Amino acid sequence: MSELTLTKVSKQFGGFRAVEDIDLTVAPDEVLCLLGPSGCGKTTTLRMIAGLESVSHGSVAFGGRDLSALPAQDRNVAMAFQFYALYPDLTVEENLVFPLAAEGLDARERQARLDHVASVLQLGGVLQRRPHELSEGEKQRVAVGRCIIRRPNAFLFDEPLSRLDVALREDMRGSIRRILATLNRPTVIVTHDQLEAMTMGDRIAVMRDGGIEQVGTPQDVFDYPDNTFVAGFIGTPQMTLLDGTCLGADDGGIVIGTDHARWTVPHAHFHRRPCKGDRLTFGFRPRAASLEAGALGLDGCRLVLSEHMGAEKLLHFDWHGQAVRVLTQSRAPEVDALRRVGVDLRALHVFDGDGRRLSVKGIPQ
Amino acid sequence: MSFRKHNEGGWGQTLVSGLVAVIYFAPVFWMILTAFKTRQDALAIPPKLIFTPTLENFRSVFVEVTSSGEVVSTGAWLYFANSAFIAGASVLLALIIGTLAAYAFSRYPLKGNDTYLFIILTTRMLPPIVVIIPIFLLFRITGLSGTYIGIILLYTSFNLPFSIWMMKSFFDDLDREVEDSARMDGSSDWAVFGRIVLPQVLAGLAATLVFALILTWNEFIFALLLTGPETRTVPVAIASTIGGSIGVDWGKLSAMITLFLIPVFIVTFALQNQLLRGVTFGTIRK
Repeated sequence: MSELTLTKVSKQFGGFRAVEDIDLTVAPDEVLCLLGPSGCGKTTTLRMIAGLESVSHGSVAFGGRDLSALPAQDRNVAMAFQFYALYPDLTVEENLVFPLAAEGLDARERQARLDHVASVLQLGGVLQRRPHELSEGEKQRVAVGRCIIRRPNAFLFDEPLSRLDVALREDMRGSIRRILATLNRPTVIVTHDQLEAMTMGDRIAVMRDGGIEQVGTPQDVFDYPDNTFVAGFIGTPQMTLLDGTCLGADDGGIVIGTDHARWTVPHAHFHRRPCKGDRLTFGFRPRAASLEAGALGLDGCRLVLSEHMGAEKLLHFDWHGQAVRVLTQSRAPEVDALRRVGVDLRALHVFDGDGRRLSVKGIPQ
Repeated sequence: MSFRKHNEGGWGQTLVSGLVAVIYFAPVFWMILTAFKTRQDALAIPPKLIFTPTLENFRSVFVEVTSSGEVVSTGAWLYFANSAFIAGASVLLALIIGTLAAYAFSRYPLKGNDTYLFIILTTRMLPPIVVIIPIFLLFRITGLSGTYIGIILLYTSFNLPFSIWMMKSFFDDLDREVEDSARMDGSSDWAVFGRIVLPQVLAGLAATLVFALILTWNEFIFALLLTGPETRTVPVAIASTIGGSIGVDWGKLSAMITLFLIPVFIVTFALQNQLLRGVTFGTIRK
């Protein structure tokens, strides 16, 4: 099977540029998640791959063959839509075999495919029902089934789980992941839910304002965000990001800080060293911060709010006008109490004034 | 605590609706009664509710006895056949052309789409009496006067704006993702339209059909001026039964109108379920 390649793909709607110069390659056995906030261009990108939206510039290719000019019906790409898009006047069975008409299969092969999909997705009991007689979860499974019954060039999923309740979503996430692993086709999933992207994707492409901010494995994107947008977007609870400056360098490393604190960070921490006076942003995940000691101390954090999150508590502090979040298992202090928040140096992410990452990937232990 | 099914009206509402229905239906009911009355019963004062029904009026619609005692056809069969053919053909044409045009307006909008739609609607903004002279002259010049094709084309053009606007609103209500999905599944644009879109707007088609049929079936002015003896429709024939040497023959008139009502009744009742969904525009079933 062949890979899916997007080269400098752009989409212009009148004067508005919805997608700008996107380069992406999805390997035949890979699941790529397009993740981003609403309006970032991820669905438009998916629709351009599908052929439902024309490409303003650039090309969409399968196995090196440029298909940008082909209409959707000639691309042999399967897609599951956000609102399922089941054919309301056809039964589940007719919905499932609908795409096979174009493939010209004989009755035996068609039945075999139908039986397989019905058993994998547990749809055997509802084959003769119509879409309006199905539950939300069943509709979603029919939409997935109508996709995987085919042998297409690629699979596309637009927010596949967004309409399901939490329990069902968790269940389906696993099932879809297992099914996708057996398909061996390039697969693109659009989602605004980072948990979905982290669990279902082999790689994640984080999008913002029509462009790609970072592409990497879920672990990579979480551990080493390329910029402050990705740092803030990925991870729940959100990463704490503080404004500061570079105060110079000494033998121990680069001195960074704010008006209220200064810390020395070893040179080895940076892949690009900031200069004295440069504006910086430094961040750390709430789980990496604690109310105990840490190389990096934030003195005088005032507790504003404490949220119970089951086993842990999320503490919101105010540190000289900047928000600091700490996830802890210990007892929460009283509101307005002043505490020192400590952060391990290895958990520190430093970004330059434009928000680009300065810390090395694989921070020295 | 009382339990009432959601949306189910109480006794008060039922009574009011019943009363309104009776008021609307009373003239029709009286006309149907008159169709079964003899001339004396029809003109009796005070009006008779209880009488011996007769089918004589219905017979007189189709056959008459000449002064020499011969029983001959009145030719009413032809008028009924004309009405059915002209209304059927023009409604069908308007429905086909209107549905395709509405789909195009909905899915492949032109620059200035709304302006085109407005222009189409303006053709229905003038009362018939205003446009009848130019149309009459046009028909004379083109030789369409008194022909089936002429009156069918005219009625089709009258029904088109209505079918286009009505069907467009149904198409606009459909979920586009379903059509995109069919396209992704390898269907051509025509297959998407025929297999996926049309079945979803059956209610709209039914509603449009019934409304267009009623308008065309009952049309009088144009039929009076633009049909000939061979192409005359029932409304014109009904009008011509009024007057004459014996005054208005109420029994025959009522019998003719009663017969005239039957096809519209049948079509409306046959499509009742679709129609109810159609007029409430409830086409989306999720």
